[in-house]
Amino acid sequence: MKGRFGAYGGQYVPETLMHALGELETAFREAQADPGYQAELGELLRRYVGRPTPLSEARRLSDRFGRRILLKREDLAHTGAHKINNTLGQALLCKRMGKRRLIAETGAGQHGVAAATAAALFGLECDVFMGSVDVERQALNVYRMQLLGARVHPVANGSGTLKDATNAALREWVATVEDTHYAIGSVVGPHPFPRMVREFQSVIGREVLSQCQELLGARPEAAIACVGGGSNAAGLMAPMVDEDIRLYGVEAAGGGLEGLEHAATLSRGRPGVLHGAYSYLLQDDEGQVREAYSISAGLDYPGVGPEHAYWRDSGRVTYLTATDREALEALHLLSRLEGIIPALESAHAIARLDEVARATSPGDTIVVVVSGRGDKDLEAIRRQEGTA
Amino acid sequence: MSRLVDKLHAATATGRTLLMAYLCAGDPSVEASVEGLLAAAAAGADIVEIGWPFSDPVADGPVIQAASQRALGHTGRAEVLEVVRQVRQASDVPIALLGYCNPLLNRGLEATIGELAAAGVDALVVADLAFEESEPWRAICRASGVSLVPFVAPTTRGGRLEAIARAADRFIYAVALLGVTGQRAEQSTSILPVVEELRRHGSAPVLAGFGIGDGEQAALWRRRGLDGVIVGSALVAAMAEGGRTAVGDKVRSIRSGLDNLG
Repeated sequence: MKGRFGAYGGQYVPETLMHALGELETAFREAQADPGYQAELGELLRRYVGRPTPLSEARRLSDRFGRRILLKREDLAHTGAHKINNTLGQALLCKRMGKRRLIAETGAGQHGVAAATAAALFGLECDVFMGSVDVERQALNVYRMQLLGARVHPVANGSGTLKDATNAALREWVATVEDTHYAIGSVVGPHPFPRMVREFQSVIGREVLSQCQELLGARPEAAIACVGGGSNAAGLMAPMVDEDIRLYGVEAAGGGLEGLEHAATLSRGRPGVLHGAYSYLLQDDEGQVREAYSISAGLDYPGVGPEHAYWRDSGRVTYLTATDREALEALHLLSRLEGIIPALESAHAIARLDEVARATSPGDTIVVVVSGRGDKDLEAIRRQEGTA
Repeated sequence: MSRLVDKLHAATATGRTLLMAYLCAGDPSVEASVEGLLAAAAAGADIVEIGWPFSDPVADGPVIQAASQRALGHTGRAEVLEVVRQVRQASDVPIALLGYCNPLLNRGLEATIGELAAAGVDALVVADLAFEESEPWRAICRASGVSLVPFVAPTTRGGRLEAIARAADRFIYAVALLGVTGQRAEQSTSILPVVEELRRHGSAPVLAGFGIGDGEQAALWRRRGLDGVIVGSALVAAMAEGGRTAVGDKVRSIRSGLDNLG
């Protein structure tokens, strides 16, 4: 069937959106084959985003874990996270399709900021849907989006987080589909989004492979990234799945896997349909979608990209988890040892270096994606630790 | 499904415009939703549409979202089936079940559709099931004697539209606007070219839904040549305000809008 990764993926959406999905698929396919589009995107990634992002040697962290650890510095991309790789690609497609407006959902606010940035750059209108809880815990990013000219719509339904923001964005898209493009921020949603967003983010994995070749003259032995919807992980892994590299995704275990306060979809969920795709899902016995929980707004999502579901079942990628507490400790660790304050999302990947180190051998190299920088989280962390 | 077939044939024969009336199972309780649905049937609804509440109803506007939320805490699969059974025991009205994919898939599609059919469901309407994904569903429905109702929307075009028209075995659900469910003051005309093209590809009755909430609006859709209308949010709101009596009154006023046309 169309747009599947094994059994996963597909197009589970209201009929109103099907025409737009077909149009998007065609525009994406044509753009992929168009050297002009590729050159324009490549130029933007170099001169606007600042790519390639560095692959930093993490010497003190390496000493700590007894493995050579390299950090892929998406935190140094313009807007402070990998999300911009995707929004520039989609904004270009939006213009190509003759649409004048971008809408986006956002959790941590990083995708919202990246969408607002791309919209500003291309002169598109921009509306961002954000859960009301996230509006509160990521207030700085809300202001950034507004500075960039976007309208931010708080969504109070449900748990007031990313799932609810995505529902609101889908409902808005159904009503405005003729002149509006929905720039989904992760490798989730109906076909062609999971494949398209993965392609836009694959610049991460391609750069890592060529930077490792330059630095080591070889492939790394292992690579690790955090997984909410899973876009930085898919971008890292897609160019590596056919290579002899151990791949690890780290989900948010929140307050612990034994309760319901987590966002560990691949570790604790089961297959189902949410937001247009068949994939793993946190759900109750009745097939109602559960509210996820994580300290990290960007991982606080009960679904996951269908390609990750496929990689999970095939065993190609190992999915681990890190709790809120472990992620906070990892954030402190990276800050003190390397002078890099990671986003709370990225800190989940850092937190499982222990387990990945154990699974590899001395002399092996591990690449970790620092998917974003931590500035946006500082106020929330300060508050949390001040009251702890 | 013969209940549905007979009803559709009778409507065609007599020129009656069909009315499908929606209420959410378990809103505010199993008993009250059964009473509301029976009141709708008694007041002139030709088909009742029973909503299976879902946590993330992306096709629905605020009124039906709120109904889902009210029902969710105490309305699971067993209660939805119970609502269907009780309506079926008390009435021969054709029953459509409106749901979203995930609760229907949750314990196996085949088992679930079999149970729905056994309880008395005649047709299945799945809000987030695109036509492209529907073939396995259609096969299971066919085997259980349930009609899988296809959607068209103002954005449905060309080859897809033709394929949807061909797949329709009983009736077609025409989404009458760009957007989610909920009554609108303005009645969009954007679906009319799609309906016109549907007529060239098949003879299945076409019912318009989304945005239609009173007798005057229903009458407009009759004048526009639709075979029927679907009313949801307005009845859910009536239910919340005045229970089965208000639902019955609302259905009667829509029915009279449909019938009293010169």
